[in-house]
Amino acid sequence: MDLFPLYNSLRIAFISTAITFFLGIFSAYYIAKAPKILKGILDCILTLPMVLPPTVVGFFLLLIISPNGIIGKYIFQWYNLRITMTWYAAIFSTSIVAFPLMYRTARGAFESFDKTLLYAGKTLGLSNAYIFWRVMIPTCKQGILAGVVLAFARCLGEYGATSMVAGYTPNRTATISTTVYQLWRESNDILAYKWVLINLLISLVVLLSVNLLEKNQKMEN
Amino acid sequence: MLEVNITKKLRSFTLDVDFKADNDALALLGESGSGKSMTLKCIAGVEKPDSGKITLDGEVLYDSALGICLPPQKRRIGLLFQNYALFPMMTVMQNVISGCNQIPRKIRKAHAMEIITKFGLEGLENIYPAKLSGGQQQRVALARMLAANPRLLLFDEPFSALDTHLRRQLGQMVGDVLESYDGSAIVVSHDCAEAFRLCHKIAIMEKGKITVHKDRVSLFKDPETVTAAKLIGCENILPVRAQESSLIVSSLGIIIDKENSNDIVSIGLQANAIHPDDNGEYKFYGSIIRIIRSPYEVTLVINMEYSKKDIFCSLPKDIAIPQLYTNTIFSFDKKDIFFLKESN
Repeated sequence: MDLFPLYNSLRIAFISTAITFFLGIFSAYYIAKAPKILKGILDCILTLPMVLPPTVVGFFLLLIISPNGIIGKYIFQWYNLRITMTWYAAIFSTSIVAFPLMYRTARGAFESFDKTLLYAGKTLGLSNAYIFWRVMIPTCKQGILAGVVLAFARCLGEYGATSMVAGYTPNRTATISTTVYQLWRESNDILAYKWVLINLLISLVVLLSVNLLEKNQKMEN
Repeated sequence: MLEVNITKKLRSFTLDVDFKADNDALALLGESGSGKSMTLKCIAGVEKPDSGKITLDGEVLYDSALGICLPPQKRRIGLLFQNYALFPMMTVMQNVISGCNQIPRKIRKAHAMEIITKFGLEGLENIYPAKLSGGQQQRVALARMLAANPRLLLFDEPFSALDTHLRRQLGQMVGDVLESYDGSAIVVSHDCAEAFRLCHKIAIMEKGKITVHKDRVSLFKDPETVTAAKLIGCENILPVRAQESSLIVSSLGIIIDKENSNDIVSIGLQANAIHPDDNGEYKFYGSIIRIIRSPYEVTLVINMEYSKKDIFCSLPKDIAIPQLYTNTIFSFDKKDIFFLKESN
């Protein structure tokens, strides 16, 4: 059995989760501080990928990064590089689809963060970066962790947008979800079952580790 | 020396404070929502006033005219919160060390340990705040604040989350800190006894303004305004009508001689200034409708025939109490009267 789809899915999921982690946290942090109207508008735009069908996200993404898309055409002209139909095109699609999950959970966590901790840190002479990384993030750990896990799971399972921008090329762009679909189309049920099983196992491991982390946190306090 | 003169528009009123604090501790006394905490936050720099000026020992911390607003990190002002604001994911030691940026890295731990010991927290260094009692948490917060060597100490209702016994203990601890500390300090409180215990000067805040600012002893002798009288716990505040050189107290049916009485709107009488005999200068009759017994005193609730307002009179526990529902004579002396102005 060729394990390339597993390897490909995992690397895409890890990279996309890392990207959404930083982007999600920073946008949550700055939008939580933004004036009300701006906050409402940005909040809508950033949450949109969560409610849009993934195929619509894929469609927009193709408009931008395909070789005749808004940005993709320059990249194609200058570097003779096609971003679509490569394994890393999936990083774009999964990041965008998973971003709102990270952003919203992080924002919820930041909004319930006790402001006096921020004030106390500032009067103690701690830099804003130190307060953010050493006080705010650890205090909001649970919410952020939940966001990371949700984003990771979403990245791993993304199908719609990914199949549009990365397609299905065995050994090049195949992910677990596109492979399962392809195998079903080929009526290769035995192999499809194997991949479904792998998918289930990964999901179980993710959920178990979340539960364990939560338990540890409860014991700490 | 701290000089504050700032304005800031808040939701229901405008904060407009102007005061100086020398090296004696100053209490900001006021009802909740009068702008006390906001004043502290503006001084500490975590909130920005709309306009004005704040200087500490000659250094400008904030000046809207010059466009100066130092970040809180550069002000070196300690701020202690009611909810302690300890960092939950750090141990006691880490919390105390977090404030030690001023101290060379090598001796930080020793410095923190010294302060931890000073506040009786040794043995708890590696414990997380959630495992500590309220009193211990407040001591850690005090230790953390002092470890940063602040130039000014601000206390925002430091003990209101603690029970009476702990409050007294920590009050003494803060009293010691204030005594040995050679900088200004401001304590925000709504408890007059606490303010009196900790600070020599008391400023009364009402709706964002400081209306009375004086020595604690003279404040309790002459609170000047109605709100101040309420805040120092004056039980009887009676509206008066000023006339030439006298005041008419219609609820008691008496007239008090007083020069320059034009802006006086009420008089205050502490419950223990009224006694059930006719030895005082001013006398009135009333019937006792209730007797409230406390551990150390007895309070009589007196009903006046021609006024709905009850008068309170407190007596030492062992004195003979007049009978309920009989018309009794009461009296008080002129020296015990507070003459009160409207606040604004």
